[in-house]
Amino acid sequence: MSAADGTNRTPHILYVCWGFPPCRGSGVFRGLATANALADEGFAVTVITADRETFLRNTGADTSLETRVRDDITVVRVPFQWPSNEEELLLWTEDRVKDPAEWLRQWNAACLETFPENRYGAWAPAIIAAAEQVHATTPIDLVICTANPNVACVVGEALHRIHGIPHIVDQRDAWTLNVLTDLVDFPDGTPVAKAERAFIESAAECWYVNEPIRRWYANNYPDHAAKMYVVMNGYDEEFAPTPHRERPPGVGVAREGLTFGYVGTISAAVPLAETFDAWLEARESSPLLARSRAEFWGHLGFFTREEVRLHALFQAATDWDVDYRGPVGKTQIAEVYGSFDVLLFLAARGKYVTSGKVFEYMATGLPIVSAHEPDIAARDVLQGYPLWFQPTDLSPGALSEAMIAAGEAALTTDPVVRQACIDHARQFERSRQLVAPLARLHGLVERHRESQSLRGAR
Amino acid sequence: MLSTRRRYSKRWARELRQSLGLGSRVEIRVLGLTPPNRLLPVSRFYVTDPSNLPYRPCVEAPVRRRRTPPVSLRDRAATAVRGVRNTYLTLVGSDVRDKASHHFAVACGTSRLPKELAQWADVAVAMDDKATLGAVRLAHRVPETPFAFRPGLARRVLQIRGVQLPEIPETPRRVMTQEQVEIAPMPMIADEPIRLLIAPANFAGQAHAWAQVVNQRVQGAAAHNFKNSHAPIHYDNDLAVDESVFATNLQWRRDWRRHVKSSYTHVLIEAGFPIFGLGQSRAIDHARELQASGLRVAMLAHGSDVRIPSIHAANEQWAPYDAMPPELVRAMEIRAQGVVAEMATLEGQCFVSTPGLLEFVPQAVVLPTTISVDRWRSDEPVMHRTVPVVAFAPTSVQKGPQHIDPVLTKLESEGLITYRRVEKVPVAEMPEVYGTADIVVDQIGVADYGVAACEAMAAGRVVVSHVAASVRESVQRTTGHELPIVQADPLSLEAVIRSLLHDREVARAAAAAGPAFVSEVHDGRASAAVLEPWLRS
Repeated sequence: MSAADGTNRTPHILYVCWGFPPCRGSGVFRGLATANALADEGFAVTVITADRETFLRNTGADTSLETRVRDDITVVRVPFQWPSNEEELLLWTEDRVKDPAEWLRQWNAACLETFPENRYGAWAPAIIAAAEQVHATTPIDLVICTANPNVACVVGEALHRIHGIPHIVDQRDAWTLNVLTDLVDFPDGTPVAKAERAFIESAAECWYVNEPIRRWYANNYPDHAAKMYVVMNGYDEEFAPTPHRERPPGVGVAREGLTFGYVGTISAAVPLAETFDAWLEARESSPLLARSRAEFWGHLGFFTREEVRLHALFQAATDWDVDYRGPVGKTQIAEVYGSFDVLLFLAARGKYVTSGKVFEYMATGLPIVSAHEPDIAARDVLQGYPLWFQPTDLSPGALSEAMIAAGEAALTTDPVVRQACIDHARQFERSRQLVAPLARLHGLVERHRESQSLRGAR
Repeated sequence: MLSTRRRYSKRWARELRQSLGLGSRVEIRVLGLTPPNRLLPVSRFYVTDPSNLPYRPCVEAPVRRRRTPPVSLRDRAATAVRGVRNTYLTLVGSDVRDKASHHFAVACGTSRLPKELAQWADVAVAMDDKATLGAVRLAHRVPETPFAFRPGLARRVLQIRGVQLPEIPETPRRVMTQEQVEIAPMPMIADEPIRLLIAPANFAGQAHAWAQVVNQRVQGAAAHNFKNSHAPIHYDNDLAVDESVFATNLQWRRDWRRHVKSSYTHVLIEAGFPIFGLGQSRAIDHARELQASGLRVAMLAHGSDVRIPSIHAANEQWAPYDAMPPELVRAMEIRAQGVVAEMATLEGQCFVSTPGLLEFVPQAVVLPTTISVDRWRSDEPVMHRTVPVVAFAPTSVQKGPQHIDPVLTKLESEGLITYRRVEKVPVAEMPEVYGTADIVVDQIGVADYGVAACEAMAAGRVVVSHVAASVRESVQRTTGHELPIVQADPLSLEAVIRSLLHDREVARAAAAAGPAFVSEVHDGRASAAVLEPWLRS
């Protein structure tokens, strides 16, 4: 492909992603996979992300993830301020000390003035400046910006406005729409709604993690519906659990019981109490479950009233062989999955909720019990998974029946069915989600370069 | 640790080590403003001495109770410091904390001992806001020691500095220990064909009152109320449990669920709350579960559970939301929208406790609030004082205190009224409060009338409030009685009260209509009449 300057320059994509390795947040895997996939596709890739110290100090860091970034990807780190998390007083000014709450309030207000996103808005000018510098060094042909935070998308909108570079908004979740309450948090006319509209209207494509969210945006921006696509998350092959192709050992012989497992963040939004209510009932009804245990792995906070309540629930549930094991790193997760016989899929209510862990769950080939409201987006993903046990509601009776059925399936399901589960999951391997989007990118880049060369010829 | 506390509570001492999150094997030294008033789990305690200008030494204070006699010169010096400290506090007055904190900060910035302490420490912690300035200054003097803004951050700042820390089992700051919570037994209901449970709110004692009404006035029916309580209980309940039990006692939740399904034929779910226990399930989920088990279910709204702020503000000029934090209003909006939606999908009867809520739940029937007229009756003459007493209980921002307080304060400053602002009065004493007032201002903001207004009317007082015309019309239409509440809004409140003060006969007439109205509409008969058709359907 020839550039406007006549050289055969490799198409250059700028990828803006706040949470990039070594960030340890769950969203980092989409960013990592996208950047690597772009480089695999033959693009020259520059990533703009936050500085390492932001992740080391604030979100937690997994430095091993940095080794997974392809060597030919250029990473530009733009310092990110996070004053609410600056715990070291050496970094404070005396002004701040005089009234920390007021100082922070003023900082947040200034942040929102810059860009209407709490905590992240102040990053906007720095990343636009960094992007301009990148473009001045090596012309950019396409910008892809991954939210959250949504401030990342200012780069695409700015470079499009100033230089006519096409950009893609990988919005993932919704912004003006609250996916948990199904209410519009930021109606038309608010700064957030205006910013979102500017992104969508100027973008070449908009990506969302599931169809319900895409549909909501398509309905609210009908003139731009044609450029809205679903680009799902998926499980990452390199971190995927080893599939359980066989039944647990000891089938047909009296055994201790099964291990029901959950992996993921445990928040007040998931139906933990309901799951335990059902667990008690299931153990009363089923001798198999009466000798089974449940393990919960994942991060659980300690400070809010709701989190204290979750801890108390776990405390109470120990009498019924429920164990909270704490957080688990991505590199140990395969081992944890290896110890499970049945998976408990707890998820928040909301028709827009898919929950990233569902893909990993399916990759195990294990029976999955859905402990969530029936009408969530994850249902579209689980549909067709042979060992999916979905109760009609979260009442103890219905959910306990699903648990018992899943437990029995764990003992009786043969390898053929398990293989069918694994085959169903394979379509959700992350790189497969990017095949169609990547194919479209070449066209976008080519059209941009042609328009640039026409402009140059004039 | 750097602290400007003047007193150290038992809880502070007890949670000190846990709050640091560094395990039990940590030595703590404190640099404070005043010597400790109790035994603390620290090895050394130093205090800054504000009396010695410009050089501010720090001295060690004994880590023991104040009454323990000092045993060394240093201890005697610490005692002397305490004496000076107390004197200083007495003389300087209300801004003593800022001045003392300033001195603390100067000491941290100049004195030798704070620097030595910081150099000794692996991590330093500012324990409160006013210690932070001193901590920042000391941090700049000793940059090699990390200074954390709060104890809970001590571990983080050490880890950020690359310090390897032992793993410690993390525990929540507040632990719900159910061993200390007494759980009342589940009550057995009378063996009647109709057995009603009203749960789980009992706002203003209404659920219990309605249950009593059913027991007394509906033939062949018995009723209980149940309350999930997260605060001290002020009203009677047939069963009440602490929220920790309702949320996390799995055995109790299981037993309660079975008890409800086997004991009752009808359940009235209040305020959009789940009744089987806290979790992610909504009231409508539990309603459907009950219906699937063969029970009849109705839902009842009390007030802000369905009063959608965006709708109320659009229709009511004096809606209170501008005076409330936006995030609170947003939360109220989300909740009210949710409850209204649930009531709309319920395949069953809906009730509201006040006529104004029909705007939000139009399919509902008003279940009148019920009070004991005898309990609230007052023989105290009304509007006979030269300077009448005007009572106002600002129990929430939604009552409109920002409109009412200035007016009543102004009238009191003119010597026209005695303003009795009712706060933190036990429920049992409220009949006395209302019964000895002349005028009770109820609220400006919700444009409706509720239990408090009924209580004041039953006491034979003049009740002044802002009630929407639509509500008054609804009352007239359904009861045949005019609502005897004197109308006022923020613009007219002052003039209305002045008018009542001027024309005592008019005021007394308004007051006299109150007991009769409450006896007719809110003594329980009307409530029984509303509930009975549903109970028998």
